[in-house]
Amino acid sequence: MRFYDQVTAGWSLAVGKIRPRIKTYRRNYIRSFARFIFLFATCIPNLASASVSCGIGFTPVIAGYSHQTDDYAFVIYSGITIQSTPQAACVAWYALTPWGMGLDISGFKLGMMTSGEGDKIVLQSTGSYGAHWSASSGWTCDIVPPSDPDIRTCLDLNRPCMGQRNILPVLQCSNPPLPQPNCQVSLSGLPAEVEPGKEVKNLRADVTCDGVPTPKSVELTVKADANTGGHNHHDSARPPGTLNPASGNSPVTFSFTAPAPAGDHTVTAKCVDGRCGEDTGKVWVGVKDLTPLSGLSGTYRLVGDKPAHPGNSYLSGQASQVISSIASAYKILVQFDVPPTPVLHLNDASLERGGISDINSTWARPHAEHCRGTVIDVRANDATGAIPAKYYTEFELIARFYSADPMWEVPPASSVLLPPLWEQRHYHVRLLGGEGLACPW
Amino acid sequence: MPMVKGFFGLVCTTLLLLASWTVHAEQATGVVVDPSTRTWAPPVTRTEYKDWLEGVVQDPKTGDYIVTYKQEGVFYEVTFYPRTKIDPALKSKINLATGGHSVAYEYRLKSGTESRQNIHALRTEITSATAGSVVEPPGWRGAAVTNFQSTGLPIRLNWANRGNGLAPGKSEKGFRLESLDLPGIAIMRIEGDAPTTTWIGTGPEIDTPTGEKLAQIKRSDFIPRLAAIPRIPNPTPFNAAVVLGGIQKHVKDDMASMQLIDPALLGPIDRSLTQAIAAAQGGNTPSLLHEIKSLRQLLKQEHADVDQDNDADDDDKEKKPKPRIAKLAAKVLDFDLKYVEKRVKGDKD
Repeated sequence: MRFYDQVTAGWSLAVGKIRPRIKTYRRNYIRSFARFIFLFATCIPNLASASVSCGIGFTPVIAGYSHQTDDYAFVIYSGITIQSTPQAACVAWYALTPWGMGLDISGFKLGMMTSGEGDKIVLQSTGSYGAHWSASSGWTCDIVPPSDPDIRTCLDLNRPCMGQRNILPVLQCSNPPLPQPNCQVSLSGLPAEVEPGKEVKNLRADVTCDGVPTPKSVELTVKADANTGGHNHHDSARPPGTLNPASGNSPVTFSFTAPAPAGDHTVTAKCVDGRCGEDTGKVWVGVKDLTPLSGLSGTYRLVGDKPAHPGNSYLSGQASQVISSIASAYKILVQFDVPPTPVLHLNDASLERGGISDINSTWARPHAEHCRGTVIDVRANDATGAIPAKYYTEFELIARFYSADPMWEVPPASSVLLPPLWEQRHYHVRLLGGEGLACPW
Repeated sequence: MPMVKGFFGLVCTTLLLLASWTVHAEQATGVVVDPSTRTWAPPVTRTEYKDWLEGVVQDPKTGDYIVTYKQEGVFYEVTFYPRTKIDPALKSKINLATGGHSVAYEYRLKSGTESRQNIHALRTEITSATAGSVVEPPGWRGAAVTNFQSTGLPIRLNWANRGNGLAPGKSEKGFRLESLDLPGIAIMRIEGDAPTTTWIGTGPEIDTPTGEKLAQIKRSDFIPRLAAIPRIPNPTPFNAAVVLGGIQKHVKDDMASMQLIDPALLGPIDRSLTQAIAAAQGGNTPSLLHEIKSLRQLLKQEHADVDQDNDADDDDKEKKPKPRIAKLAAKVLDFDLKYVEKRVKGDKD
């Protein structure tokens, strides 16, 4: 009668303190006796660790159940705290005792018995005796004896434990407690392409569970893919664009405003509870149909590309034709010069997909108007290959023949107190006149 | 009534107060660019602490525009020089080119004595030009180039002065070209000689009120004059119905919108052209020639010298009643009809 031995021993250690409480329990549990005939338990697996804090001088309360035989019994140690992982949540545990004890460690409370000890209890098998469990919903549970010799000693002696230690879980269950619905989030309406700075509306994120639209909470994120859009540089300051709203209950209707830098962007939707997978979509941000000027042309020379922006000579088809025609006419003008006058040296036009042309790799200006493949800079200062001053008028005249608008641009200095950077002056040529100049910033 | 006036005055005063309240000058340090010269020396800049107000203001004395704009938090003040301080006169002359079916176009340009700039350039858009036919007076450069813009006719015709331009009171002739296409009426854009503006940065951004205002000024930065230019497509082989269709469209769309023809005259001309086109399509040459003759008579009723080979296209301002079609338009239309008549008759004239 091992079980009753332990009960007796436990009680004998609880002299004067536990006995009155037991009386109360007895009254309560007897009333509940009819309701808790079976011993059963459900528990989510991964009750990975529990912290045992044995109360000094406090007598373990004995509980347990003798079911069919006396081959198993349980000792409930008061003062033991279960610190569950987020997944761990024992749903119910009812133990039938001679007094009809009901134990419920769902949320670490004892439903009936432990009004004073609810969140400080653990069930511990007594060792080699195994147990019979009746688990709900197909759960199987096994009693795992404690591997810690001290715990064994503690249990065997039925005395209060000293100090604090971790013990292995004592009740290991498998299989999910309840079948979860199969939920999926999906994105729709994402545009294949959008111009920098433009907003696309009426995009949607929908969640369905087992095929049924379900109003689950969804969160949306967007990120710019590294080294795309002609920007061979990447850092956390790169603006990814904005989603509005960025969360909500399914179905979520949202908009995407493309950032000023062009590039590939990934929009992701997932449920806040993490239980509907995720869906992603790619958005191509940029200006369509820009093509690079040929680096092999004999009528002009491309200068100024840098590793961070390896392609800086992209233009629209019309703009390419205009600058090519201007360069050809200029070459004819200077072709017989002795010493030779260099062909036009063309500096920045636009990046391969347009958008902000951040020559300083800061995702910011200055390089205004170089965003849609409609403008180009022509060297006209003291640097090698620049248009000589004697040809300024002729160059302007030729450019205007083609409706281009050549204007002098002098970069501003870093401080308003300093004079503009005259040595960096150049022709900023609007190749299509006033067309295609607005930039997304 | 006084109450209404009082209320109206109150509203106006309130609006004025609101307007003055919403337009703020800002005290700041900025950069003023003094007018640049053509010596290509650095523009003289000075830093000033003052009240800055973004916008475009025309200097009443010089006619230049003072453009104040803000970039990267810094104010700049730059002078934009318009090309409109001229008073040009332009004469068009159209003839059949010798020995062919092309039309020879010639222009004479005069700079009025009121001009405050020399004339620098003439530009327009045309349907075609015979290769190598563009001729310019000495000191000018002429070219007919592809128009790569998304709007307008396919060819841009330019003459630009390579020196100081045509001075006030002076005239220049010898702007010539040939084209197979027949004449129509269009605007010739005449530009004065002005230095290219030097901007700090790229100037005001296009989508700001200042940028929009400046773009508007630049879009109309020329003095318009009417000219006879290659405008009516003339296919090879000759097709009278196609040419007459082009003439009809030009009269209805362009001449009417330019208010060169009175609606009372437009109706009969349009009907007659419709009948002529039908006759041409049906191969009914006598009927076609009859319609052309009727049309030319209509024009002659308005301008007796419409078929004279001269370049006098000034409207007869003293003539009573006032002609219902501008003289240049009448001469162009008469020329086109005469051309069709000649080609239909098989060049027997």
